[in-house]
Amino acid sequence: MIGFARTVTVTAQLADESTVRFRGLLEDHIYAMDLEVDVHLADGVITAIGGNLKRFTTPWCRDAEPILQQAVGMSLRADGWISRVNRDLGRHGCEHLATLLVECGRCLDTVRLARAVAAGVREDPPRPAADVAACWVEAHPEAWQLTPAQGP
Amino acid sequence: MTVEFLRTKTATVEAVDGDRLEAVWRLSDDLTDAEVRLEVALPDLEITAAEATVRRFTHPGYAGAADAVVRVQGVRIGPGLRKIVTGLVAPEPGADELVEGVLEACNAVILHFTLPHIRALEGMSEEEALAANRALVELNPRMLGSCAVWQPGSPLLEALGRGGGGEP
Repeated sequence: MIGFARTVTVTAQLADESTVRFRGLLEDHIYAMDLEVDVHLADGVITAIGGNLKRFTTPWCRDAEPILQQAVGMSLRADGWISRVNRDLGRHGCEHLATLLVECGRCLDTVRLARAVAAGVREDPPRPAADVAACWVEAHPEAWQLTPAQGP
Repeated sequence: MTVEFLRTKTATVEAVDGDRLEAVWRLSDDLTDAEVRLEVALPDLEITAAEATVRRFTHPGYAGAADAVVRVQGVRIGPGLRKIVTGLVAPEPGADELVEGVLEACNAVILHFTLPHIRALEGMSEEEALAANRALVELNPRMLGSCAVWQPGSPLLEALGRGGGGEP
């Protein structure tokens, strides 16, 4: 029998041509929460964020929700952004909401890659998706999380 | 409006027998389908078996990373885990997600042991809950400072007589 389970879902949709809107959902045997965050595609800057704790463990947990606003203006391309989220929004807010924001943020370049692969395969159907992906990654060094051996 | 991308992650923990747990992490999204499976020995929380399977990954750099996950065998779930796992697995190109998979599976093991404590709190009076939280933080001092509830000056730490975060 399962003793503990956690599921995390992240979706990304285009809010407009320059902004990707992530929705994150975290559900486990203890916690439940959601997050919506708008990110500027070109520079990874968070332009809007909101989150709700739905199931939590103490009467004070929801005090962490407003602390999420400190993420507005933060760039998901800045060195150390994950550490900053875990410190400023996690340790001083809710570590699980911070986890969910990191989950969304880590998808930024994967979303761009997925779009490029979908477009590449659509335009040139015989071309293998892996070939499109490799070319895209090579042309986008800012997406260092997809090539961690070359990253900071 | 349709979505451009959808990722799901799951982490589960199950008792194999009285001495072992199995933690399984799975990631599935538009580009990737990967799984990490750990066997964890009790009571030391030592990872005694580890394997990763990558069924789909569009970026070819991922292929060799799965083999690197076996290197976490022998590691104990505890302080310094991120640094240790990153050092063992991350040098392989494309290993980033699998490092997170190992860490998230280990985090699920920790939460597996937290769950009974949380359930017990639900039936307690305020006084009993304070006593249980005091026992919890004495057992696991790393709780201090882990989130706003456990920061110095928080209502809970004030109630526990640990307003400054240190010893009462």
